[in-house]
Amino acid sequence: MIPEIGQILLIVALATSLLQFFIGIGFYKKSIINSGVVYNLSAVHSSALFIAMVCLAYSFLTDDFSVLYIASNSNTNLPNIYKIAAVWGAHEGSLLLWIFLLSLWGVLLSFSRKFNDQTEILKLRAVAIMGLVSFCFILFILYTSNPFERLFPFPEQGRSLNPLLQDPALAIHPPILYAGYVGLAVPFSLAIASLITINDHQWAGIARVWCITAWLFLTGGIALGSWWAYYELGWGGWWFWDPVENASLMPWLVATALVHSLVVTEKQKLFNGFSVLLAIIAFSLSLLGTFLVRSGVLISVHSFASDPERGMFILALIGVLTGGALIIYALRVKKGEKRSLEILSRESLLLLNNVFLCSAAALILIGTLYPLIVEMLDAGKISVGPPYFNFVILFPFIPLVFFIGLGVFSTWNSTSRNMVSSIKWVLGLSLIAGLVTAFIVFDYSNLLTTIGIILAFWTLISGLSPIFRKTFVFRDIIKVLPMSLAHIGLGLTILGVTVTSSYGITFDESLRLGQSTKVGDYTFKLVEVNNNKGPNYDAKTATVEISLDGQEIAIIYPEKRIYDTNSPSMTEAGIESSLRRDLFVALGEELGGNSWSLHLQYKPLLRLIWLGPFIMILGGLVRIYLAKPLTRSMS
Amino acid sequence: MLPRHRRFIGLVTIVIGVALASFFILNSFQKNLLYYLTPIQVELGEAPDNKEFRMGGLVLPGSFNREEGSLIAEFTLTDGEAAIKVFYSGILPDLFREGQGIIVKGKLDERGYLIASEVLAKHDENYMPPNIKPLDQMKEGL
Repeated sequence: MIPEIGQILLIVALATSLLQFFIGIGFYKKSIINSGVVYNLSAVHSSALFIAMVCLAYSFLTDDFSVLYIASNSNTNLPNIYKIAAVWGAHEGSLLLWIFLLSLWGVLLSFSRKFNDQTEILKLRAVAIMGLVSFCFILFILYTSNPFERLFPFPEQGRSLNPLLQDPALAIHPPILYAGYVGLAVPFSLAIASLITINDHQWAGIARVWCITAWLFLTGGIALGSWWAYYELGWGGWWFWDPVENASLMPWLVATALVHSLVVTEKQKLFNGFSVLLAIIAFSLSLLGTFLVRSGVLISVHSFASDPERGMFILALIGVLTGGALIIYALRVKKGEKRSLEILSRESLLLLNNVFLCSAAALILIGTLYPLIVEMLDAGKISVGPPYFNFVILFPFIPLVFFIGLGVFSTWNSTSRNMVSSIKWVLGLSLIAGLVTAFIVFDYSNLLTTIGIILAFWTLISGLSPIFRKTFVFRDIIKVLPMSLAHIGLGLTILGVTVTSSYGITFDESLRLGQSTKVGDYTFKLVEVNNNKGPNYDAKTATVEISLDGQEIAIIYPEKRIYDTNSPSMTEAGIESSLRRDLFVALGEELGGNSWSLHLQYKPLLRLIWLGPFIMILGGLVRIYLAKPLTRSMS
Repeated sequence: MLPRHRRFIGLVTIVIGVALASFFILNSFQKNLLYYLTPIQVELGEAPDNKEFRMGGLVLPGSFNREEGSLIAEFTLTDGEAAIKVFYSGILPDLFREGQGIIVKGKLDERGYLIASEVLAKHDENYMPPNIKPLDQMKEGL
């Protein structure tokens, strides 16, 4: 019964989204139907989806295995918290979550008060466009991937949720990442709404805060995913250039460009066309990400579903939405004011860096899609390895990071006269800090590493400088804080990535019980391996003693788990971490003769890779907080 | 300098920069393409010389061998038509077992054995690498 209610609610949501689109887009004359109807429809639409999700969660909690989706993703032994997480643990449910979050953004936009008489029309049209996107995807769910589909005859017991997914970080990772993906629908809709109505720069100021909010979720989702891969996938890597990771990084890069471009459009009325284009591309890349993850077209550890029909459907949706948007763009776009650009002015530097960010996204896109294209042309099967990405990403990134530092000291419209004197200090400090780190704290490794470290400090210190430059007035500082924090976070991430990649040590070793081995300065000793029992798994637990200069500093317990059901064993790594370095041990197999294979790692400054995004998120939160008083003063 | 000259110099710099970057990127692209082959293709000599490639196949039952206490594993991958011996030093993925479909990455040595630098198994017991059939559907008499 409950699944049928869910099914009906999906149809209700489909109908409301269609109405939301038709009324909102102006199909009926505005005098007949009030725009408030559209906003209320979006609320009904979102509630229907929410209750549908509750229905699915309820069916999970009551172990209703007559529902195909539940029978294939849950069983009676699963802890309740993971039964709820299983709602979005696989294809059908995760799409439901995707659409629900999209509708939630629609509701937030509907009831936003950041619009005045002139821009009210933007809001109405944008909500209508979001209704159209919702409609397309609900159609997709109902047509190809219905989570409420019944199974007959139904089994007594369900299959298990992939044990990899039974993890707190992964339970919240998809909702956060998805919130970011679909959040980009808001700037997209506002951009299109602007094109078809007032067609000037006013949408930019409104879209900026929405874009930052979506960007925050994307940042958090990517960082969380990377952290999860590090401790849960078992082998201690934090980025694999997997198609699914690329699928989240590309919209992030373009969204970052969009955030910066919107500033220029809002404040200088420049680059309006470019901002619109970025908004379209950012959301299209989100859709492409959904396609890559959900169609299973690429060889990937992540591709959960492989169903050509689904892939074709999503591809058609991307074609319609992106193609349609680009056609409207081509027909309607009006460039911002024409002005000659001063080469070192803030707007030039921002434009330059947005181009670099887009090139980075393009290079990743080529590497991700190329294997797909080759396969479609029947020219054999190939894949593009991580070395490609690691190498080519440097081309846009090195100049990007250099100009980020310059941009901080630049001013609108003109080359700042103080630029040279401020930069002298920051450049000097960065050089000193970078060289000390590269040569004294760590040993010299190579030129690229040294450049990377110096650029990291350059970003970090230039990000810090606006805070210290001003006299200590809270109101002035909080204004520069979002930018400062975002740049500091980026600097920390670059530092972490460079140092970990260059100075990290990773190898596999066979150790007898009682035997030890050196990883850098640290000695790892395999003390014993015992059998253990967890709530729903059996484990072999190793005891590994780590010592530095003869002093024991930690004991860690890497595990090999076998979950009750027919699943293969899982590796649960032992990690000893501090801000300075991570020590990592994963237990391999028993090799006979009391020997075990172990995967050992020493990773200096690894934590900075996730501390960086955290600080960026703080910066974004401050910016959203700052946007609030604006609402009050306007309404 | 005339603005016209400045624009010209700027344009030339951009063109040269883009050309150089494209050259390096394409070069890196070529170098880092990994071909995916099946054992029969490798036996027919389609594997690239002295360059890594990927090969998919099933771990032939009974072929797995590892000396006590050693990290070096030896096993045979098959697609039902040909069988290639693989050597790998390191920890095998959780899903590695005989009969399982896996993908290895590595180079051929002079004996025609594959020296693997990476062994990939998906987190799905029913996973089959591209162009590989399950064991029971393979041709008899291998």
